[in-house]
Amino acid sequence: MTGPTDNLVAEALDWVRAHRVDRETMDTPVTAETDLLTVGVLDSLGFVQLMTFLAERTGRTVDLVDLDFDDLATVRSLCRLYTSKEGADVG
Amino acid sequence: MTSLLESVLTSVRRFPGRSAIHDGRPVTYSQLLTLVRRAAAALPPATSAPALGAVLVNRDAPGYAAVLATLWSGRGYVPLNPRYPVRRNAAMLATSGAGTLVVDGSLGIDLIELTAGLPEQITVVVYGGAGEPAGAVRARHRVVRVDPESGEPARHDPVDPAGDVAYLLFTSGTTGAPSGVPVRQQSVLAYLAAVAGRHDLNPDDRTSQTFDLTFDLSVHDMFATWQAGACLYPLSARALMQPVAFIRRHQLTAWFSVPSAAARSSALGVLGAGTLPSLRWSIFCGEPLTAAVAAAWQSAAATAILDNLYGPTEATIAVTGFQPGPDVSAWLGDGNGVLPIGHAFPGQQATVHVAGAPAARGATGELWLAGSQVAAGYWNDPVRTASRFVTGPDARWFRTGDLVRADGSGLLHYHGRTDDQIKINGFRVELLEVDHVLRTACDRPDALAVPWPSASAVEHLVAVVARGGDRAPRQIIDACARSLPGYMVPRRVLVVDEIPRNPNGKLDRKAAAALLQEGGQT
Repeated sequence: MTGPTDNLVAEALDWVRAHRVDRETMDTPVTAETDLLTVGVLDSLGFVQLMTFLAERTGRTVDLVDLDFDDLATVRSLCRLYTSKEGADVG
Repeated sequence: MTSLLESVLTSVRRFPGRSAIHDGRPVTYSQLLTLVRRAAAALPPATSAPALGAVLVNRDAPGYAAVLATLWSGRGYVPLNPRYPVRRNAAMLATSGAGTLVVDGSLGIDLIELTAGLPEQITVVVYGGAGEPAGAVRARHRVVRVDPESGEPARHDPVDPAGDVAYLLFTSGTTGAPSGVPVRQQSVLAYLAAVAGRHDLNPDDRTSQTFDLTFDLSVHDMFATWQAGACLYPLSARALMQPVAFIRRHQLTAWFSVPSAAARSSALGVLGAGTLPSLRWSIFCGEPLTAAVAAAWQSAAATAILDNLYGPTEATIAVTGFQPGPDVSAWLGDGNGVLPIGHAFPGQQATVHVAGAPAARGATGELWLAGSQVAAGYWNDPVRTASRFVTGPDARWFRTGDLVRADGSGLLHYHGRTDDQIKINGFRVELLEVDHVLRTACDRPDALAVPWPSASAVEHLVAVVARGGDRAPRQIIDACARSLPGYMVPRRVLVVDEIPRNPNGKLDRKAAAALLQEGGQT
């Protein structure tokens, strides 16, 4: 994945850093591969807001109805969902 | 039906080959019985009341079997939580006085720390997993390893309950320690009879299991399902982030969760019209259900009947309910956008009190509850019991601390709390308990736990701490996390010059919340 996705990943990481619940201490490192649901840097509302942010940035609507978050809770996987053709066509 | 266990064994006899649990693979009622008997073989029969046994297990077939095996041994069960810090589980175990503990060996729990504070020897059943418990545990307690796959099943019949407690649950307390609520067999059986009449579950139903075993709504999940001969589907915390996919994959027919799960689904845009055609029942409890969230859920689950339940642990799972019918938008709420909590279940009493006396119809006051579902009091805590339970001329009442209003038709509407108790994703939290732990963690008295972003819709807690202490924010949070469940741990620390005080000289939580808002939060 090149160009647009890398930009989106960088923007999403910035978003996470600005909205993480432990932003005073920031002592849990967050990268594009960090499982956001495991480390707890986002609460459930934050996670939903991140999805909204990605939808707004990409201008795409992704149907999440049958999506399992089991393998989909990193910044990179979420960004891929909002940029890949397959992701946009889910559902 | 004479006991909680019997409600399950009846289904084992009637539907041995049907699925009782689907935790990734189907487990029949007959297989569940075998799992129960294997764990029960290691538990000595209870001989005298109060007889309790703790369980520290996952929400899977062996874990549920551990609950039932404890009942089989004649004991009420005391659920501990694998997601809680060991210190909190140890405090719950010690306070309960449980004589047995069934622990899932695969959890890797530190059994030395868990059992260190116990004054007497107990039986520890390590159910599944590999490895041997440390010698320090075996030196003090009777330790038995049981393999759920091949252990020898108990030959004896279920032991008659030695006491009348079906389970002992701990809720957040106001003095810095968890507070136990013993719930009697007759109270749970009254509840199960009420929901059997309310929801027509049958052996073809597939029901959700979203609640931790330390939350009493899990008692509904397990026993309402099994008394009907239906099949229980546990959801992981991760699956609960977006439950619609799980419901669709497993074609669940009955859903029960806190409204937060539905609100998340709505925010993720996955509640499109007709998305959940398999559901027959959509049941919510644990926090206020807004008309907006209810309408969104109902558009997805259009053929399901929505039931909004209400009840504190002290009144056994739920004690009032409201079914708005297909047109949720007709219910604008009592001016606050929240669905009514309805009427008391048959045989239970719910009345509104102002200043200790029954209120006039239409007035907002504290909800008092009485009836067979109401507990006798708190576990070994006469002071707290006296503060919340009132014996009147005609009944023993539990003062809920919930503010409600009965409208012209007698429907009860929820209007918040009289005190500092809040709900975080449905979990009941006494802010006074968090304050207590937080002040110990800060080693100073001027610190407060503040709900964020608001007390009525809490996402997490923030610690507001006055400047001048020598503890770093990370140290404060870590210290809290050693004593409190994750949802009670402040996620951030805001250091301020001074926390305002109210006219009584107490730290002012509302003013601290205002400081937090000014702190540039989004």
